[in-house]
Amino acid sequence: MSAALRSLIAVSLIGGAALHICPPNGTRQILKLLITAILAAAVLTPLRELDYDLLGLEEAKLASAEARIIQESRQRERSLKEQAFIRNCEAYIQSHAEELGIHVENIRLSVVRTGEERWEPYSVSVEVSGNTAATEELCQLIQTELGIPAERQVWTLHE
Amino acid sequence: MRQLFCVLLLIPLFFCKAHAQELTPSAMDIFDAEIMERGLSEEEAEISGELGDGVYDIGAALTRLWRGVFEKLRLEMHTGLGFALSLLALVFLCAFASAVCTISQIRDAIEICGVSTAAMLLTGSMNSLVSQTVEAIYRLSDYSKAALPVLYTAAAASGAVSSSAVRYAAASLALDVMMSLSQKTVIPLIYAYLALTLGASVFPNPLLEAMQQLSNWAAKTVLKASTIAFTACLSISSLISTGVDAAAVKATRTVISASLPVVGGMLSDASAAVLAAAGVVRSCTGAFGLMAVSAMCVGPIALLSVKSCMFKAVAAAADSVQNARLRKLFSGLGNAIGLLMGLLGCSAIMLFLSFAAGMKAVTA
Repeated sequence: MSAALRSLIAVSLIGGAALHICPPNGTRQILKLLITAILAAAVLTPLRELDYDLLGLEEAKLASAEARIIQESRQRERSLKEQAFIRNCEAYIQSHAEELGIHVENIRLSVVRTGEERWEPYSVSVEVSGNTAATEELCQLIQTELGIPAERQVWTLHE
Repeated sequence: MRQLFCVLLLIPLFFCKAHAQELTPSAMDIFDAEIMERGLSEEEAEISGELGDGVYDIGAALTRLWRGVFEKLRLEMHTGLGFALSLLALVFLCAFASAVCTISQIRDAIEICGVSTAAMLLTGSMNSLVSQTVEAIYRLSDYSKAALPVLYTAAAASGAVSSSAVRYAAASLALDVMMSLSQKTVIPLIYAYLALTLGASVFPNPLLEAMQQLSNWAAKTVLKASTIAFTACLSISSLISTGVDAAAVKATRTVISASLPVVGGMLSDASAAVLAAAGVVRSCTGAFGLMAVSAMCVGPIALLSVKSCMFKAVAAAADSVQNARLRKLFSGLGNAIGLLMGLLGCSAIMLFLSFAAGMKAVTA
């Protein structure tokens, strides 16, 4: 850009000097017209060189930009929903364990996808401590309410 | 008993909200919200603050922003004062020399020497200002390419699927076109204005002044037209796409809740929690983006503001000593800096509107 600025400055200075020096007669009028044309071209050239194809290219990118946002949001939403579902199930087990007087130290639940945005609980690993008398009841509840059979439930009892 | 029953009915509402709050840190990770914090310099990051786990203190960020603005202005004034004094010294030296000299041609020559000296001193500085402005615009553009997808992805996940996608596409189209326009059109027009200002100062001439006004008008018109076109594009795309989303989200929720038992209820709760968490991410990232853009503009705007005021003040001083050439030069330089501020301001405003449109996307 420095070169462009220098050349523009040179043109305007030379043009101004020429008009300053030139006596007021017919030659001056011609010189004025010439300098007007040169300077107008210098000023308006950037407008003439606008990239009119750019708009077409950008419009073509519109559809892919929209599709990209929708696809990414769906992927991330699905991932977040899976996490939220797992937490809901774990919270459900935790709340029922508390009702039964069982102290749960850790719950880890895994899910399996059964549809577009549907999951089902698949297996669970539960670590309990303290009074473990009601674990059988909790195991039955998990099987009935969440559909995890006993063989996919891993229980760790801490003293 | 009735009151207890009502409380029991209300409990699930609190259950949902708590899950949304627990889910927000995971949502921030899943939506890559930390991308918003990358690409900021240390100073900008200090002003913007941190996104945290879905809690963004915008009040504190605004306070830091204002403090940053005043601090930058103070620094730039401190730096620019010496330069302004040297220009004032040049103005008064020329005025003194002209006053001492009795021959008008020599007075003209003194004024022309003064203008040429000022031009030589200022060309490098003006070129540097233009480069810094262009660099600031490119930084805004790069930041928008990283940050807008995060915001609009979260907005789409919070229920505004169609409108977010359409707004994102409209915003990125308009920003790309604007950046291209500024690089290829407005900057050359500003350079033309500077060159013609110099020419018209050295050799006062109605022709050069008319060309100077033409380039000024052309630059302002391109800026105004592009900003208006961007706003219209974003508004129209928002109006067209907004109505679709609300109906779609409501329909989906109803289907999930009605057809599945206990697990189905948890799925429905998970959907609601995700919508809420994504909404929090959308709001936080949108607010953070607005602060980050403001922080990125603080430095260049402060610099340009101080320089513009400085040139206007020196032009006024030149006018007071009746040095028309120097007055025209400094006044023209002040206007050129005003154009640069307008260019940067328009880019920032378009980015603000893009972030605001993402935050205001319709949700369930």
